[in-house]
Amino acid sequence: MTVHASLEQLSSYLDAELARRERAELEGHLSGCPTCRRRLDGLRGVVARLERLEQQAPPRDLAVLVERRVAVETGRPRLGTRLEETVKTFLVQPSLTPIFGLVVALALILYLFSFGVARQQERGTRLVVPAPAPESVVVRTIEGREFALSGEIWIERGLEKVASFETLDLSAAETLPDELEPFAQLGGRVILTHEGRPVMAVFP
Amino acid sequence: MSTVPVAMPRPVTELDLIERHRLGDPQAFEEIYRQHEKMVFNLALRMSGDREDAAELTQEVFLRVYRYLDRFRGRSSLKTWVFRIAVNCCRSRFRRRRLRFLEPGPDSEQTLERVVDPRSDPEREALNRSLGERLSAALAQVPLPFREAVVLRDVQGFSYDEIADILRIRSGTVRSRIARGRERLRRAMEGEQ
Repeated sequence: MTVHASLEQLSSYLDAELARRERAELEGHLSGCPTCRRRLDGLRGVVARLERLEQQAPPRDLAVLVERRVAVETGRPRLGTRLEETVKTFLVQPSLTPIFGLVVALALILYLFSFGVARQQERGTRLVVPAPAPESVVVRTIEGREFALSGEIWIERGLEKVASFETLDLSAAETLPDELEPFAQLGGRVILTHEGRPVMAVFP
Repeated sequence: MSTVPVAMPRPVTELDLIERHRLGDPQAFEEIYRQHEKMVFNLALRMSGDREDAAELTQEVFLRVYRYLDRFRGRSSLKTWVFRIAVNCCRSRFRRRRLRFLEPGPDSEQTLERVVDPRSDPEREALNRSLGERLSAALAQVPLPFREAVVLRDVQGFSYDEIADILRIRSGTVRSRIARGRERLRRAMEGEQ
């Protein structure tokens, strides 16, 4: 090895992540190169400091807070149960029966409305995506494709005006389609072209 | 003397716990929480540099773990899966706060996001801090993708392959990000002395 060792080589050497031959070459180089030895010592010092950091104990009430949030998520009475209780209340008191009729009619209208919305969603999510503000654009390029962050959504260049796309919920997926794998590092919602059409992928 | 085979109790595996959770056993989630709480909290702490933020992030992580645990099929380890969620919760939190600005990518075609905590002022405040506080201040100066890799490796002790799995990036990129993260951290710590 005639030139200086790269940063990656020195760092990987500390982690014993170099192949045997590369490690031997590097050790040979280090024995005669004070510059690389100094760089290696610098990195070693950083690693040692990080490793000396003690794991801190979480706040004592953290488990209780998590338990509460999980309870809120799961502990609400189911809609069916609540509806049943409400119906019973109205039927037991005859004076409230006309009000009950009105409530049922309103509920029916709401249901029909939401059915229409659901049908629309089946055909594709319609979402008005604000164009990224020029002064706060964060851009990343992955696999030669450029993505701009708009709010919390990454949008592939060229898809800013697209208002209709399918949603691919991959938020809990353990494995991803190969072609989407590189873009998972963006995290969250990403509007991109997948299999020739615009989709909104929801990554973990 | 003949040896009589003795049935040893089978260790509780991750999949056992998840199956118990699916069957409605609340203790299964508690067990998963106990196993990962401290590590997740410390990851969040080193990423955010703030105990309060770390506590909130930890809550978000476990809420998501609870929500999606049913869908976990054991293709990766539970720990890797939990940490993937944790890293993504941290990223989402940073995005919500809009604490980022553009920085040219030093090692690839990618433009990396850099996240800084505007409340920290490492140059002025670092002199008399403990090692942990000084490191936190220095870590805040390291761009997020590098910081994630360094914290997962040097604080949490994950292997390169595990980090690649958590961050969904190639091993070569892990190697590069760890190296650059360490170098940035070294410079940040030198700068405060």
